[in-house]
Amino acid sequence: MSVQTVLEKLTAHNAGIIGCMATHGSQIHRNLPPRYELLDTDSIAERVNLMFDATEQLETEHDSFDQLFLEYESHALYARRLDDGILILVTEPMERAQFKKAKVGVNLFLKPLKKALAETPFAPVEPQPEPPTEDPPPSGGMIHRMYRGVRY
Amino acid sequence: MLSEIPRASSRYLTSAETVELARIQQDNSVIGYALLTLDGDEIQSGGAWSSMLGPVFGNITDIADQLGEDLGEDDICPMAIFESPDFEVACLLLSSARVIIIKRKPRRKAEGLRSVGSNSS
Repeated sequence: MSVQTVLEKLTAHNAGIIGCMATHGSQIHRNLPPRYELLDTDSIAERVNLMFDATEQLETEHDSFDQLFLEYESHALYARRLDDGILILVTEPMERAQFKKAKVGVNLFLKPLKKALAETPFAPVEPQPEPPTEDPPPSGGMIHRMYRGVRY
Repeated sequence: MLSEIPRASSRYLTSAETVELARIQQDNSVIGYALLTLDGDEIQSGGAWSSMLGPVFGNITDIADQLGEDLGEDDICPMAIFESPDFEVACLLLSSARVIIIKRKPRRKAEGLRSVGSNSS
């Protein structure tokens, strides 16, 4: 089964799921309805990745944050770390308790998705060139400097 | 349960929010918290990772708000939850602040079977 097929089946499995995407290295596989075709999926994937990166400050050797759930007024977003990427679901607005029940469906598709991604040629993320140096960032901790100095 | 109840500033919390926060602190599974301004600056924190929660989740909530804009949302992110196998961190939007709560997840119920299994071999 191809990555696209898994994403289509996952979206069709639960009426609350609007669409989904899976990052794999520098690639993003998407399955979103036409009304979301203008969605900046690169930006969404990058921001999700940044949030997971930020939680690494809290990780221990045996424990890392691998799932996130964001509630908004008109949407909810669920993301789960995979071996070489991230699965991201955009859903109708729902509370996390509701989503936890629906997630049983998501778990069913994780194994086929990982298998399909593993069979897809992997394109590693290219390191971005350093931006030109500007004014020094405001004082604060290292993490503040890392993220607050950058506009997304 | 946390050893101290946060004396949150009334400038940032309504009385109802203060009462609810105090109630949450009594939960045995809650091991840490932080109270942030809406700009992500720390007001107070305590318990596990207390020195890290403000900076880390101040930035995470910024990113979550920007992600909401990507999705076409007008308002800032009211709720974000992060899960690891052992912990759960919830970031909740209050009237004039954000609160970060860390909970330890219940131990997996089947964990005891490991020792039973190893004893029987």
